[in-house]
Amino acid sequence: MNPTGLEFVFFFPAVLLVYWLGPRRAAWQNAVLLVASYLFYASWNPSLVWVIALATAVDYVVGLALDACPAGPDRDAGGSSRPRRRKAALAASIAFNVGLLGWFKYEGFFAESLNTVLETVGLGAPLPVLRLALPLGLSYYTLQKLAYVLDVYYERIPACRNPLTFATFVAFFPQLICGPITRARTMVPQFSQPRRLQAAVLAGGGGAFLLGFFMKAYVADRMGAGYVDPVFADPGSYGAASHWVALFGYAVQLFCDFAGYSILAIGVGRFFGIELPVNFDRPYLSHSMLEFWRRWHISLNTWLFDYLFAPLTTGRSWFRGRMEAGFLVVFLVSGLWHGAQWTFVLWGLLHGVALAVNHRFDEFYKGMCRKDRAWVARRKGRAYAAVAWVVTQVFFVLTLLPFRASTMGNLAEFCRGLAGLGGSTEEVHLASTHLAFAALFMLGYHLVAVGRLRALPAWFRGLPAPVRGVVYGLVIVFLFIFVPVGPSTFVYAQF
Amino acid sequence: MIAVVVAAAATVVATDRLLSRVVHFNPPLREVADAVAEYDVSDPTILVLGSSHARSFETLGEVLARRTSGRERLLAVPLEWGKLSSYEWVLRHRLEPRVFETDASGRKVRPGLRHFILVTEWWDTCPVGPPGSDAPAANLPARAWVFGDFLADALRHGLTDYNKNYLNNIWTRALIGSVLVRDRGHETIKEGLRALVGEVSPAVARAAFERRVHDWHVMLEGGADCMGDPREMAALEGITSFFQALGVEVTIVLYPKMPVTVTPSGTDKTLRPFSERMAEWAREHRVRLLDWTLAHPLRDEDWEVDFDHLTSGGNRRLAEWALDRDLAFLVAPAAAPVGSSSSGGGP
Repeated sequence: MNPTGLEFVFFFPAVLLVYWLGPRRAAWQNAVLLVASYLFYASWNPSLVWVIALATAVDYVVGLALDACPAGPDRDAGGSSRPRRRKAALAASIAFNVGLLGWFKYEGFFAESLNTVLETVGLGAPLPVLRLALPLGLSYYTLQKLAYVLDVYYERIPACRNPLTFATFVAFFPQLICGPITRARTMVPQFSQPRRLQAAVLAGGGGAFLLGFFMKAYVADRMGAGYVDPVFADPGSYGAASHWVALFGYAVQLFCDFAGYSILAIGVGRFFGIELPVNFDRPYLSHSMLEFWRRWHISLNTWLFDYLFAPLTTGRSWFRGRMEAGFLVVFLVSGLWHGAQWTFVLWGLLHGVALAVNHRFDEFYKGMCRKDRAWVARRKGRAYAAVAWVVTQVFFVLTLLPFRASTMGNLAEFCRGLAGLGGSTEEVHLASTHLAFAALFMLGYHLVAVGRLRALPAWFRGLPAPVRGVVYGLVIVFLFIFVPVGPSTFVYAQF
Repeated sequence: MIAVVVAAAATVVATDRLLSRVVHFNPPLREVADAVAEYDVSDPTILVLGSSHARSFETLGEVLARRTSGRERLLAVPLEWGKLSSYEWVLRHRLEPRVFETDASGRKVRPGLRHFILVTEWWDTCPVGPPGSDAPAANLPARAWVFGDFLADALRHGLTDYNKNYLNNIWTRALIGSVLVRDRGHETIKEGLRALVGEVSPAVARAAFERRVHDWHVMLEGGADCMGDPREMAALEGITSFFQALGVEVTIVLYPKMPVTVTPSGTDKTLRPFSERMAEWAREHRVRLLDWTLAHPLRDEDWEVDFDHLTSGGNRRLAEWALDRDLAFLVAPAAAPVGSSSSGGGP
């Protein structure tokens, strides 16, 4: 099931009705959400429902086990070591979650890679490549549950004792396809309380749903089908201009696809009285890669920094204090998380290096500022901001090449086309109102967070209700007419 | 909140009504479900099964009923987009239970059926997917399924692009009065608005016409590469043998082509070989074949702008012509006796 598909028009109102017409008790509301979430899950592949059910059960039990032996005194009455039992429970959860993810997502990648190496040294290709179907949302809820178990282990939060609440937290359908990756400390309290209908929250949900739908179903899908997919699929058939349009178009498509879905998920969540975290904060305004990754896929990056970067660089291992090495590891993991392909590994490596350079440069610049305060003024100047913005955005867009390319060969062919060495002069249809409209939307969406335009959203929300209703109605009419027909897949659902 | 929702809904409805003045959609067309509902309350003497082309036989049925003073009752079952394997599915899942339905005493509820007409053309014998694949035709969930079929498929495979066609059809039929809903995938509103802003120049209109004619030529000539797929031909055999076993006379009609869409090359590569193949098949299976592909009384003006379906005038002309000639046996009081098998042969 796809939240921008027609099936959602049948599913969503039905779930909402049952949810709100029933008793206003957390147990009822969670039961409705859980059944709806499992139906949503089963709609992708009914034979894989056991995966999420098993994964939920394992970490629920691990949470209870951790709670049963607090980290306080070293030994219990029987003399057994509590920290050791805690570590064992944690290790079991990590092994299970990483194993499950590895089995479904990376089995093919590692088997193929190892077979290639073994073939090179003349040992044949002994490992079977299973090509398993990736269960829906596995990459997302695995991180969500790992964070929960680690938080319980470090006693940042208590274990969730209610299985219904925990299962709903893991499977909540609006975030199931591609996040945001939520944290138990903000979500479990919401699921533990009965939710009440609030007009303002519902209105906010409706607005977010419409904006997210517009970004995904109109901007991203139009951009993908019209300018990005054809050129990436067959780079040799297009000229250099089409390659550049496809590359920048992909930056628009990816943002509107993923940020659009996140906003849409937030909107759907609000209809159930659940507030999901913001996942994108206008990343194309960033002036450095460090800032960029604080604004793009925030829930994944905060997860990686909280549960990987911080323990690495503050622990007792070789990585302690070695920030650059930490960035490299984090982004290699991030690359692999996005997909089991060497192109993603390359993408992660590029960003790891970029963050390391960014960090070094910041340290260097701070040193300059300490010596001469004029450097502080220079950093606050428009010229510095403009150069920093251009470097950041161009770097991000260029590194989308390995991110989007299907293989290393496809990447090389696309790069030749970008440089005008592809041999073809045929171009995609550039004089399109849709292309202009998508560009205008991107510009407008980012500019409303800058300067005087910041007041625009609040001004709109302050308009009389019927006026806002008319605007929403016109947007719906626009979507009816201009959203392309056809199966629509979220780019980030495949990661 | 309520004011926002009401204003938004009012805007959508008002815009929809406004747009309905700019663009025009044909009234809802007859589908399998309509035909089945009619079958439930009638006892047809002639059953017609085919693609959207079978809708032409609605008019023919009216003319026939008038000429025979209601003695002959024709029921047309049109399945949009065609394919013989899809017709066989409709026959087995929708029509067969009604053909064999009995009352409490064990007698057939509908004993009147004497003729079966299959309306087809080369397209129906091409596979849905690549040759050799068993890709299912999307017209079944879209036009022939009932909720039980959808549920069974969804429980087995989850929601797929294939079975979502059922939901799409439910949605469209439920909101058939909405221009915005019916326009999805057709872009009629955009064309209507464009025409409203500035009239389409004759040169542009001519270019669009020629592009469409060219597309038809290409499609027709490409038919040679796919027609006669074994799975589709097996379905043809399944359909005809079903009715022959019942003692119902079987007639196959090859539907007329719009003259402007036919090229000599298309005739040589696709139409003539297909006609010859079907004539041979009909002889072998003792089935009457009426080949109207090129032998018909129609002119280009008798076709809709899609170059595929007849206008109401075209349907009437075809009906009168057919009942005067090839289908005159339906009008004659001494209609072919039950159980007889006609010899094959085209007009």
